[in-house]
Amino acid sequence: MSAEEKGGAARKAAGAKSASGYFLDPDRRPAAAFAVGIGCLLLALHHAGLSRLTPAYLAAWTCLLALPAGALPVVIMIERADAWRPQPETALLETLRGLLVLMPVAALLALPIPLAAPLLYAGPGSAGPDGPLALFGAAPPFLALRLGLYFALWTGLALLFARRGGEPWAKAGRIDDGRAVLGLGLHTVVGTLAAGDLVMSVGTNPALRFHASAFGLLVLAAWSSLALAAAILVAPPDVGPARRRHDRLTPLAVLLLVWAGLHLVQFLMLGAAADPEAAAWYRLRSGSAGRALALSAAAVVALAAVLTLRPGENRTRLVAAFAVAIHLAELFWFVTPAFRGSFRIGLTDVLALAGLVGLAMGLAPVVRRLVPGLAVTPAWPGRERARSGAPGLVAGDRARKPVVRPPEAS
Amino acid sequence: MTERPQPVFPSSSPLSSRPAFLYGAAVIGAGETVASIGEALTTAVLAPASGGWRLAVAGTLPPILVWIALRPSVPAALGAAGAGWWIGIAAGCLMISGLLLLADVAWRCGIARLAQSAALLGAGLAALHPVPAHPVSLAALIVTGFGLWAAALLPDLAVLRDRLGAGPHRRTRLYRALSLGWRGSALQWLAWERACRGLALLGILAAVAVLIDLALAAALRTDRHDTLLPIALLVEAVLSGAGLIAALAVVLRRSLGLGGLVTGRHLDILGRLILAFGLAALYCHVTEIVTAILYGDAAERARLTRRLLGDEAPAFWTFMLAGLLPTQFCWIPAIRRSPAALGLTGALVACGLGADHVLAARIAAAGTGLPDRLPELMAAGAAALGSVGLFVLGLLLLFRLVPPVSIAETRRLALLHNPQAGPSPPPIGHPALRGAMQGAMQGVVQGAVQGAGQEPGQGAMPRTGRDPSPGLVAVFASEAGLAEAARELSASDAPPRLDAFGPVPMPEAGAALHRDERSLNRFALSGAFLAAAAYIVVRAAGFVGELPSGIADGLMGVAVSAWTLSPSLSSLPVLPPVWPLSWAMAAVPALSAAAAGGSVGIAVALLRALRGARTGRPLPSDLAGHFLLTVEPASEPFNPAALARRLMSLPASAGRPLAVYGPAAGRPLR
Repeated sequence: MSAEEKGGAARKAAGAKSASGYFLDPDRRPAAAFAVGIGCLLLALHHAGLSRLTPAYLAAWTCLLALPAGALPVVIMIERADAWRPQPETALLETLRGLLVLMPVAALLALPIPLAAPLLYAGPGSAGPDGPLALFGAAPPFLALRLGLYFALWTGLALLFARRGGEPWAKAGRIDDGRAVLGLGLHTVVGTLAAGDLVMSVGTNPALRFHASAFGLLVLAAWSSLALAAAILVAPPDVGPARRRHDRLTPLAVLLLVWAGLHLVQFLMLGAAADPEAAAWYRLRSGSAGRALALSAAAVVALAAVLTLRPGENRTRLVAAFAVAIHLAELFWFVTPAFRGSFRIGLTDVLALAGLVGLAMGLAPVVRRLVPGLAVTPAWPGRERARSGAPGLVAGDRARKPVVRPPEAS
Repeated sequence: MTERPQPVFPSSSPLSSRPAFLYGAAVIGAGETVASIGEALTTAVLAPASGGWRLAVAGTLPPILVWIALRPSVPAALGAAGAGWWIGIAAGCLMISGLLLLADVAWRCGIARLAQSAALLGAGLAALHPVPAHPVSLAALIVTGFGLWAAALLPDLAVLRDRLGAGPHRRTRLYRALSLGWRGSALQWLAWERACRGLALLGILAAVAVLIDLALAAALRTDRHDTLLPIALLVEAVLSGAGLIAALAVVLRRSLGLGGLVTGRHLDILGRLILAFGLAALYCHVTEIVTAILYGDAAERARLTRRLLGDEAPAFWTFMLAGLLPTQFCWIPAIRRSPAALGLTGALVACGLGADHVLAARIAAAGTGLPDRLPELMAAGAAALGSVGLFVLGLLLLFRLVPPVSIAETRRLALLHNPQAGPSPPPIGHPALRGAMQGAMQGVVQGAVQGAGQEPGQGAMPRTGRDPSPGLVAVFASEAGLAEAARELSASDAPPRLDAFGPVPMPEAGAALHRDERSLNRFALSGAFLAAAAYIVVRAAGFVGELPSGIADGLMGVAVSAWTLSPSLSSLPVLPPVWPLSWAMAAVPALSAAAAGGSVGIAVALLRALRGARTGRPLPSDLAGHFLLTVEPASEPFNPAALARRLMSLPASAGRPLAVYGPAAGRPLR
């Protein structure tokens, strides 16, 4: 029995009369989280109104989507890298696989977006520089149709690449080059289209929108970086001698560098073009908060790059925590200035993010039951011994908690 | 077909029963050993030139002469396209080589030298064209490419030096000078590995920077502002590099008979690389088209129409049909595994991708009247062929001087995969070895101990009468045994001074001897910082100098020379004489300058490390290719016989040497 379950049992035995005891009970936690999420969203609605809540909801939802959609390519890449390494990555990979369960959750929570499309995107009748197909496609039914298609493909990919979790590698088969290339390719295409549809096209004023063909890659890089950083924060450390443990900072630093490079390249190319739409887009986002975000991001990337010279577990987690914060702010930076005239994080944004987190925590167990293929069992070394309490169990094994509770436990 | 190699896992790994390779054949021939690899690759260099080689050299001369003759008449825009193409190939090869090295991919040895040589030659050829990128970016590409190529060569040059012996031959002197006193000590290997990794990283940075610079140059001069253009150029660079390496690898393994070193598995991997990057390039171009259709304005859609159906269509469809379509053939395993088919596909892809640079040049010239008359296009084609001839000639000459495949890294791969690949025991009592040992030990080699069960002191050599030097040299079958022995001797109360030598990098021995080399990072960072700062200062001086009443008149000369394009390029109607003065635009050349400065810093640090590790006696060349542990007195008393007995008493699987050379046992030297 894990420490978490022991705590839950003790609270049950004590009667769990207090409010905190009620919410901390693992069995009641999803329902409690769902209720808190609804409460946060209602509070945000009351505080800001529907027109101000919808952009915050969209931005918070992209943060949620970033976890499974960003984890997917990283899972594929780690699996492929493991094919060449004598010792595979275990705990981090299983944590990333665990994030894939959020894909159907994100799909469910995307339902309000087509309904609120008139508040988020320019309608088909509005004049602007966009091509006719984009304006036609911004109509709510078409947007819902495309979202359905994206999530059908993404969920299929998540099922394909999460199914192998927890099984011995040889038994589960391998993700060969062909499947990896097809998985990455399909994800890249779907992600590019989704990023264009949902993030790049945001804004009801066509004059304040811009388009860039690298935007999809940029968003995908941000998502992957966020998912990897979040997984590093959650995943338990590898066991074994220090030299056998995988360096988790270098992949994160590489992703952060790619992401920052894409930002820089996009800025330079659009700057070289002297594109007025792009200039307006950047002007909206370059207030004091925007500049502070850019400087902070540059500092985090530089820190990650420098710390790769002396990696360590605590340093890796520090960089990961900074990266999560930067990416969450960045996803709001993409969306909200189109509606507010500048970038700033307000109470509405915080409430929307908290609401989405609560709803996701509430829906995840339901989704795990409905889609058992996504219920990943952690499979890091020592798991079986930790469960059985067999001799030879190391302290680190005992302290570990399952990233995603196994299906039999729920 | 060779037997599939078995995994090499640490015995403590819980996954040791799992196969190391998912599929495919071996990455090195089953019969390859440390000795056979050295023999094959040094012979490829030192053997007299064959008739085929002479014929190939002669074949490259006509197109080169044509190129020299036609070069002035080639339209400048197409010349710039040629420069872009060569930059792409150089950057791609450098990135492939660097990424494989940084990822510590063991099988890289089969293609790494090819990639590095191609990168160096490609960058040099680009410099002979009117370059559309910033000069600093191209210079950084050349510096980092040369740095990685030269650093990776060092141990191989020492192998060539040892193979030639001590003769007065001109080549011997050349290799002795170029190998910079390389002895293969643990510290030298450590410094070498770190230097190669650092140079690989800086090479990748320089390659990415020069490609971004190319894209920015196109965006500044033309209406091509697509934000995916830098990514597309980067992907196409890797693709063209992979195609070229595949074609060269096929020719190399056939012409030099290196099928055991550049295996079918290498070709298969290159085929997969071509396929993956072909898909990535396709993504870039399709996304560009889809974005223009979905979100673009009327002007963008008009430009798209021009590209698909208008005057740019020939270049565009050449690019698609010759550059990208053949990459999809690599879905078929038979094509990936057929050397001829893969070589042809790679060559076609590498050539076809040049059309995208032509496309950029034509876009650049839109509205400026780029001549497209047939004679000028033919002149451009002949010039391109001539530059290819120059590239081939360069490769032919280079591979007469240096091994086409890395000896050190291939030996390491062989030791990893072939159980019998280790060096054979040295012949005891062999006159050549005895003489060499006498020279090495300054005439004090008095005994040799061979194998288990033989007492130290047996077969002692006669004294030579010169001053005794009380050292021991132990010969081991593997690095692991050497490391065990080093740990055993280091554990004593008064440990002797130990050093390790070997034919491959020895991280375990380095750790056992507590060797570390940290100055490389410091030098690299210092060099990068200084170079970037110098560039920014020059850039700022140029900026001030352009003010109406400039306060930096004295610096104007420097500034203008730093920012003005080359004369041939400045004459192009489509290129401005000076780059826009924007801090953001300066970021990319500053990155290039930092990469170049870092490379110079690493080179200085490597030279310093090599000089520092060169102290002590030279080892006999007859023992080259073996794992050696030298034991010298660090304090009194020093009892070599006791140390020799201690070494020989170690278990055979845990550090017992094959042989120990040194003074007669039983008499401590004081």
